[in-house]
Amino acid sequence: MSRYVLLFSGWLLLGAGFVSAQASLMGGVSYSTVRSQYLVGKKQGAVCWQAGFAFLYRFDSTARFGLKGEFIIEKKGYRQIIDKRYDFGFDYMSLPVLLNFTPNENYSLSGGLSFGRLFGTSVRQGLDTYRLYELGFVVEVNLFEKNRFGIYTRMNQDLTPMIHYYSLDELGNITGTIRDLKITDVVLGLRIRIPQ
Amino acid sequence: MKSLRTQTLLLILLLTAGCEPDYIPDPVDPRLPEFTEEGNNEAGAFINDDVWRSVESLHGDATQNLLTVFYTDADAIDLKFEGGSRVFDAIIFHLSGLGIQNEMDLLPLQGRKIVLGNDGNTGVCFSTYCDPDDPACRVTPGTGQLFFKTVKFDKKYAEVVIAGTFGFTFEDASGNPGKVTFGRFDYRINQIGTIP
Repeated sequence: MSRYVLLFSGWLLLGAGFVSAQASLMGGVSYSTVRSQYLVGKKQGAVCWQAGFAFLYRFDSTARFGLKGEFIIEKKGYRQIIDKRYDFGFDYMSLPVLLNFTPNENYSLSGGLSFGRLFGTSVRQGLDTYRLYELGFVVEVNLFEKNRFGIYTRMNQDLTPMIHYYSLDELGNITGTIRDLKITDVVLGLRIRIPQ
Repeated sequence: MKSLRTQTLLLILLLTAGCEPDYIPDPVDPRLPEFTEEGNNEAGAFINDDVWRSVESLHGDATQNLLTVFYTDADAIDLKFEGGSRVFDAIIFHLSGLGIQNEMDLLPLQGRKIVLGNDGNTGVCFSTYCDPDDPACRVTPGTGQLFFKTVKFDKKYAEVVIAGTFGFTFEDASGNPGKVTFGRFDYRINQIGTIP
């Protein structure tokens, strides 16, 4: 299913590129944290980043509502503090598909789903450990929407767990499956509108 | 556009480049290695709440065997997991009556849980620098289990992969109770007595 989702998102981006969509480059710094029921020790966030481009297609005459498709490379991660600090980093290629509402020329709101594919980790054999595909929820505020340069802030929330892992008891019996680890990251970034 | 594609590829390469660490951390408790079933030659456990992990070399730069499997009498073998914690170095399982004459005879152990403390099967841990025949070092095995979750023949490398979990109790030379918990192992064997 994930393959078809990515294909659909790619089609959406491509389609938007052929109509009068507004293209822009985007990039920013994020603070990434993890929600977990099972992680041992203290959890800490990590400073990460994202970069990519977006197409915004307005489909009404008032130009208030639109559909935005994005292609983003982003780094997410977190830290665990137990006997020492353990850092975990994850590299994703993400395709957010967002509904956009622009009440006035000063700001706009976007929200929707993000489909991500893990392509790198900071741990050995991480692509065998962590689930390759993720689904997330995105909400975003864009400032100075009509200007060439704008600012955006967004929150990404993972909806799907990153691990399906064995749960062991003290003797080593497998007692079940742990479905856990969801990353939340908050981004502050710059958007550069590409002139049409 | 070509320049942008090249830059994107370079960015992806940069993100994924770099040396891979040797250790695969457990995604929930990174003090221990992840429980894998691929012949990664790693093992770990808690011994009295201290972390015990398999090691690659014991003395200077010489590479020692991580796992030694050797015959102790006509129908018994010892599995010795070399490793280290604050107090203990190796974990040894003595297994009797399994009819193991060579490494291929390990294959029927697939999915089998061996109860320790019964029928001559035991698990102990001791310090390499302490003579197990010395009464001052003698560790008394207790009860527990050794679970061979995966035992498979890797045709590509002509090696047997054994992976599983373990946990058991023991009594140290001073009579203090001890326990080994959340143990996991994942080794390759090309012949009884040595590993690759």
